[in-house]
Amino acid sequence: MIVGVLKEIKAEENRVCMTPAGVEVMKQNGHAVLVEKNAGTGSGFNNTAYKTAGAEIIDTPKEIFKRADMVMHVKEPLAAEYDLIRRNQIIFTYLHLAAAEELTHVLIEGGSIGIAYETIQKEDGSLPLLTPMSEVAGRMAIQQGAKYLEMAQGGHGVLLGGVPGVDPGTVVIIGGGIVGTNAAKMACGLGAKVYVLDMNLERLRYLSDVMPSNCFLLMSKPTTVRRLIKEADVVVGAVLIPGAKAPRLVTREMLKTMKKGAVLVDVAIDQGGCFETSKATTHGEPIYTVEGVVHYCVANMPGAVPKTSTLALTNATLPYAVEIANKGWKKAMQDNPEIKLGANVVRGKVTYQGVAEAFGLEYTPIDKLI
Amino acid sequence: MIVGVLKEIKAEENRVALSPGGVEFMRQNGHSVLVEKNAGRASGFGNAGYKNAGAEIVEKPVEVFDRAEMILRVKEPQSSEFEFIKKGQIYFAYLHLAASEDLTRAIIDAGSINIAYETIQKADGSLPLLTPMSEVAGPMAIQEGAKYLEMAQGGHGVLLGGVPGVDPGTVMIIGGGAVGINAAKMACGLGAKVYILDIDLDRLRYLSDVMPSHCITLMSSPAAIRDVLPKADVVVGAVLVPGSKTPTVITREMLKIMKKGSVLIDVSIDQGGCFETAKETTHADPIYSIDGIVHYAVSNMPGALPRTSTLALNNATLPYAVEIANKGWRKAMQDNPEIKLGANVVQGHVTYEGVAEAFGFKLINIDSLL
Repeated sequence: MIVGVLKEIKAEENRVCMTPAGVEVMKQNGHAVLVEKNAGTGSGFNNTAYKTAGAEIIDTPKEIFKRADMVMHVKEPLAAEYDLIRRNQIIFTYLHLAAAEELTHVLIEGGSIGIAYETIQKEDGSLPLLTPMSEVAGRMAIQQGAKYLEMAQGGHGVLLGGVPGVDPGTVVIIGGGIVGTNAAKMACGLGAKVYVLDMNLERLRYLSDVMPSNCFLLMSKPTTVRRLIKEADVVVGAVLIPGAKAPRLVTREMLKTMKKGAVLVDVAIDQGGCFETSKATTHGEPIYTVEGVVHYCVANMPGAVPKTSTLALTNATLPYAVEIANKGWKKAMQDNPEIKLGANVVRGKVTYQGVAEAFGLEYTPIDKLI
Repeated sequence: MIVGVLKEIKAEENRVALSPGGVEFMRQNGHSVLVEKNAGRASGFGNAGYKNAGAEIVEKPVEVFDRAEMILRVKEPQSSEFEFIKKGQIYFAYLHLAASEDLTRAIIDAGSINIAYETIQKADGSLPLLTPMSEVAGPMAIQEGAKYLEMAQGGHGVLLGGVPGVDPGTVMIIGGGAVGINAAKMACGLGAKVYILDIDLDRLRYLSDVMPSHCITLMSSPAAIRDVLPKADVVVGAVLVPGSKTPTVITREMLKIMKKGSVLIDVSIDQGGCFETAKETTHADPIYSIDGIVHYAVSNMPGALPRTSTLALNNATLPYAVEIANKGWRKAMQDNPEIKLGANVVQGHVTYEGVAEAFGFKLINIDSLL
């Protein structure tokens, strides 16, 4: 199979969907790899490294769409690329179709095979191609909190770790999933007082087993949230309900009870945010203040650390990409139910229920097509 | 004794020399305390807090100068205040006289008793009123490094802690004193690979005993620095030679072997900096790039975290301030050699060797004045 690796064109997106090491594995499996010129520059991989690994460097995205059997991206195709997508071409990337009606129609009409990173799912319900980005975002959330607590940044001037003889800061993490656990690890490592709130008692038991003793595990209830945000210097919103809008856990009214100069970091912003006062910001202008409380709500947080994020993402995507390339999409979906769940739009049919529902389109179970 | 607490007027200085807790302690020792209006606000202490602790709130700094026998301050007097200083008045603060001839002359002429935080020294050579600020600046250095590694900030996009399956960042800390060890604790807590370099083998042995096993201790030399530099994502300059200008440990030439987009944090900038290319910046405009390397060289780093810094500083200064207030400066210096070493300019005489040498003043032995 010919596999095409496109350069990202979305703003602030510096990741790349395949590293030179990934190219080497693809080559070992007998595939040819086309890499768009400078696709890896933002992640620290230059054209020479790709060439050495066996890729062919291609000047324009147009040529990649023309020649590749499977096109890989990190982000969804943008309008400039819509015309380039070919019939039966596999598009393997984050698609987020439920939020993109136009793109959904483009894929339906183009007759391509749209497999979405974000809906590939393991038997236990976990989302293996979202996990690595949650790990990055969770760890990053604490460094943002620490930085924006500085007075010159609008914070109230507290060092999260404290110093001998002075209280450390208090970090409240709402949600004990991948984001929350990774945020808690970093906050604990800095020496802060850390509270993790979750509604799943099993998860709280597990976290209690693995986290250091400066991490306090609490059952998440509105009263608990209201009580803790008064003490908090940093609040991390790390709530994800798969496939649904994030619930609003901190209202504008509750902000008034917080310390002036405390920092909210909303990692759930890509799903609408879990603070009432959240609105998406960018790495170029990451913060704003409401009721004296600093809000950090950057969508796509991992985009800021592309070297780490690219490696984390491609570690997770490569095995799926290789399986699809080796077997073709049909056989790969027959063999691997995880990949089958990734099918969003296949040969003009919407095969993912959430997408069909979002736009009132007809849903076709993927089993009918494979 | 009447003790006066002045509001800081230097730019970006939000600390305060005495907390309400300190006022209460002064009162218990029989002293009255005048606090300039809003002196503690940026550190989170309102006027009411001071009043409740027994202080008198005073509107104007000139009234504090007029009435107080001892002035407590974080920073040195500014030129607009020189005329207010009274003969025989004790001024207890960071003075850094060797850096300011004007100030030195002004306080010689005033005939006041100037005791500098930074030259108070214990028998073991440690500087107890610099240590707490080093404890703040060290951890901060790692937060800054983590933040400025983000691509939108000029960094090359590496997450210091890595994620499962992806290399963490590498932090090199030059200098294993109070700044270096506290920076290392934070970097280790985030999960980075940490190298700490020092020229004192006993100190390295101690660090090796107390730090986690991913903290590697190295004997510092230009060769060792050149060896680690190409791997480093963040380099913290934490070199202090008490009382003299910091040596240059990284030359401009050496920047060329570093990764583009790595970050240098010069915590020694207050003493001239330990990187050849370091020049002082502010919290408002903290970074610049040279040869593709991000430089963070904010002087007075702890000023950004006044809540933590004020408490840390107060914890350390208060026992000395109380001793001076209880006994008077003369008896306090007779009894406590640590305070005696704080004497810089006393009743018109320069009593600290470094200051006398810097401007060619005659050095008077403090013992002859006690």
